[in-house]
Amino acid sequence: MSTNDKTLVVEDLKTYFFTKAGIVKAVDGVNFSIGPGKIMGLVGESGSGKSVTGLSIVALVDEPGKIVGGRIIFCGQDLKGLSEEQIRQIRGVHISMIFQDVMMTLNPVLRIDTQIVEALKAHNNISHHEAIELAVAALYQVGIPTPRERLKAYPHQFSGGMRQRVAIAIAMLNEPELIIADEPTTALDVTIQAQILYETQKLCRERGTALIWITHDLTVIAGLADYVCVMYAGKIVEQGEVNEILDRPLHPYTIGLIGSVPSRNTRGKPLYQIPGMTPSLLNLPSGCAFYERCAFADQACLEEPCVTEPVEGHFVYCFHPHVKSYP
Amino acid sequence: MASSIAETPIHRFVSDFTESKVAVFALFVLCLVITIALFGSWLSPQNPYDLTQVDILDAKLPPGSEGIRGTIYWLGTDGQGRDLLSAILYGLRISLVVGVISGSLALAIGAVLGVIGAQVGGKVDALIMRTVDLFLGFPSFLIALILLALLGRGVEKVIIALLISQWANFARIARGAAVVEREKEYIDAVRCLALPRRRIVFRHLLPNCLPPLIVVATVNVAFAITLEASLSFLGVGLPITEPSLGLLISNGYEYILSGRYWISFFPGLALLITIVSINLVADQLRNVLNPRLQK
Amino acid sequence: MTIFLIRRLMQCLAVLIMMSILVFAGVFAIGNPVDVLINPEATLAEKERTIQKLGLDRPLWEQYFIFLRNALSGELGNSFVHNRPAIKLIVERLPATLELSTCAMLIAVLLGIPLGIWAGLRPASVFGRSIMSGSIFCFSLPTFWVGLMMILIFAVKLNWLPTTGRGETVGILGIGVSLLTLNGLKHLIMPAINLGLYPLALVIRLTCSGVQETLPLEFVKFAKAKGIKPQRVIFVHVLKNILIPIVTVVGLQFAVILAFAVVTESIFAWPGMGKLIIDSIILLDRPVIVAYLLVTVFVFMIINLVVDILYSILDPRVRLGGL
Repeated sequence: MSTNDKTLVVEDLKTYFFTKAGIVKAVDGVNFSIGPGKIMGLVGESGSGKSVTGLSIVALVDEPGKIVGGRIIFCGQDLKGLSEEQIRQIRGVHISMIFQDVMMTLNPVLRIDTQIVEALKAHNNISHHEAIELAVAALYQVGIPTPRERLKAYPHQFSGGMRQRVAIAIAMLNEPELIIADEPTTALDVTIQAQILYETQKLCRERGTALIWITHDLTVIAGLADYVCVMYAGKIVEQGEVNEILDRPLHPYTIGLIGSVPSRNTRGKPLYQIPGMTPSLLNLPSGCAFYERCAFADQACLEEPCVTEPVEGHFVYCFHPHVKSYP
Repeated sequence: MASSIAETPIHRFVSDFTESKVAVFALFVLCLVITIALFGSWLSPQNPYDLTQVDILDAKLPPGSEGIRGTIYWLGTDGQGRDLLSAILYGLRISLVVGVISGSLALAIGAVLGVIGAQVGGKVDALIMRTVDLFLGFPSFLIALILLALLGRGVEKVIIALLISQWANFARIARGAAVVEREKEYIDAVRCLALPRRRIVFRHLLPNCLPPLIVVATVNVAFAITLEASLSFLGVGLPITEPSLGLLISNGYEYILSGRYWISFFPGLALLITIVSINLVADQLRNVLNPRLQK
Repeated sequence: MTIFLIRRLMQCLAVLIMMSILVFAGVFAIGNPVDVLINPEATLAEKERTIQKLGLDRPLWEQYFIFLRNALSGELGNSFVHNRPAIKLIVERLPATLELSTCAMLIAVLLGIPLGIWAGLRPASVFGRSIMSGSIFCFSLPTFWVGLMMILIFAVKLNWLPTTGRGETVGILGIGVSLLTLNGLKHLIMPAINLGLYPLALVIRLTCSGVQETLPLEFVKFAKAKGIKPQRVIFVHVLKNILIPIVTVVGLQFAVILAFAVVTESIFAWPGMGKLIIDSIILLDRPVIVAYLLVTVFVFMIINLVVDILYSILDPRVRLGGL
């Protein structure tokens, strides 16, 4: 597909944090794209750079972080060169974001209706009354009972799952082309998580909204996404269609990740763990960042790997993708 | 990464503290002030309270002028002919001593009561905390003022008044810190050893509550010094026989309207320098010791 | 909300009663109340009469109720110096002190919050850093010395403002307010700034640290992600969150400067309660001291109540029992 058909194309994105201790290369050359109505999973451990990737797209990276390179092409337009005011007009209306911490996503001292109406009024010239009606409809859509009364409530009067639903409702209010969800269900219990996953997926399919779901949990991706990118130490080490990746993982890290899922392990045996620890992003080794922990590494891995496409549509950033393991 | 293993807490504290050049400078100034205060009586050219050394004919001379006997009055003289520089050196000592003593006593009493309350709990704790709340509901200035109204003038009375108006703040902070520490495992361990309560409180609990108290204590000493100066200025603080900086400033009040600024200006400047340096040091201490601000 | 109010009022009442007991104990039980409340130079007949009126010959617990009754009706004995009811003296001077303190507090809040927000948003900028160091300087300044220097510079050397005293007043609801006259304003400026410097510094620091602590919180990011204007993010989302501790401190500081006004009033010869109380302490005019204490406690209670009410309006978690 050409660039113009895709909702978002990220090319060689680099976001570095210039701290007193040194430069942290949180996102170091990330490439991916997503089309309308598609769901992409961005998987990685804490510190892999997945949240920063999401924040970079809408220029919400805090100091001392800065986007230092790459292009972010949204519906044909490069977001990187835009002014703060121009980006503000895209946020909330074309690209929305949902965050992880359900307790703190909504402002505790403002009413729910205030927080929904302001999202509407920032981008649409409508009256307060019209905004309230839209807010009621939005809450109803995400499955909140008696929405009209609930509007007058404060966040602390809602449960965690309900608050996240409100956040999703706000994200979908202005019918954005893209939603970036940064671990929105991590803090919720499993049953609520399943509900929210299902509902979000349904809404996105219905409206043709592209969704980037950032998580550390592979099992969530398995049920939800069409496409998945695996991140490690600021780089995408493997990406492709979700079934392809899960059935035939090629990068040692992805293999390890899948192997670590408890249900994958045989009963009674000790759980599999990838040995070692994530490297500090301040002091990345040259060459492949996974070198220290990889069972298949050799001298070649001390050089920067390149991205290969051993199977069509399935990209790996490795010298030794496990093509041979599969028929 | 060379320093990470060898760093002791003290080492880390010093390197964190010295990150702020301003604070280091303030600390230097503070040490200077303290030294001057301690050795004031030997440093000063004149003992301004020895009537044989003071000449009424030298009164109200502006800074830098020469007196009858040929002595240079660097900061001028006051209404009685006393050398202002000497008076400030003496006054500095008194102000500092009163501030530090009352601050330390308030810290000691408040901290002990707060920690005892946290450790003992129950009715004792409730009683201590209700008393603390009562005291904290009123401005220290007011408490000190009323106490001095009842007690009269005198150095011990001022120290007592300052102490009573300040202990409550320490008690509350100490109790808060102790309640948190109390839940930590090392206290359980010590209790398992069946140590007497008193020992748990003094040897184990109290020392670990110190960091927030140290910051507050530093600020409080500055506050106590200002408080005493204000009270002395108003005439209800230290008696004339123990002339603090506040008294010196009030001596100069009547000369303001005639433009003889130096009699009030220089003692005030000395006070200001002292207070600012203490507050700057305290501010950096708070930045260093406050876990929430540590990145 | 009403239950909350009633509960707070009950608490106020309890503290007031306790304070009255303390004052009673301080005045009556310690030392001879005859010496405390009756002018030592009064004639024997006058002494007898006052003893009768104040019930000083009755048992202690009865004396307490008489004391309460007298206090409520404004009868605490006459000032030794002015020979008028002490309470009346204090209450007459109250508006001047209130006016001064309120203006000082307004300066602190109206100037302090914007400056604090600026310093919090741009902590590394030159202006931001100078605001923060300036604030440490400000609250280190000894109020009385600054007052003297202000008189020296602005009144004596530059002759822009009058040295001391209060200006012309305009009666509003029977209370004299000097804020509304130009002459009154000229007299009010220096003492109000002098008194307000300390709370100004505190408000600046509090607002700045509040902004710095609130900005990294997730709801601010979420608000920005919604695409709302940055001004709204600061002035609605951030400000409303940090107002709660600011209101608490402002309330407390108001009580503090009401007491501390004593110093400013002495320097600027402002005819408020403060000057009166200092004179009374020096001259041992005890009925006035007692009256001052009671009135001050009463005013503090009201301030605390107002702060609590504001608190519950600003923080819905308190009002609706979330916390």
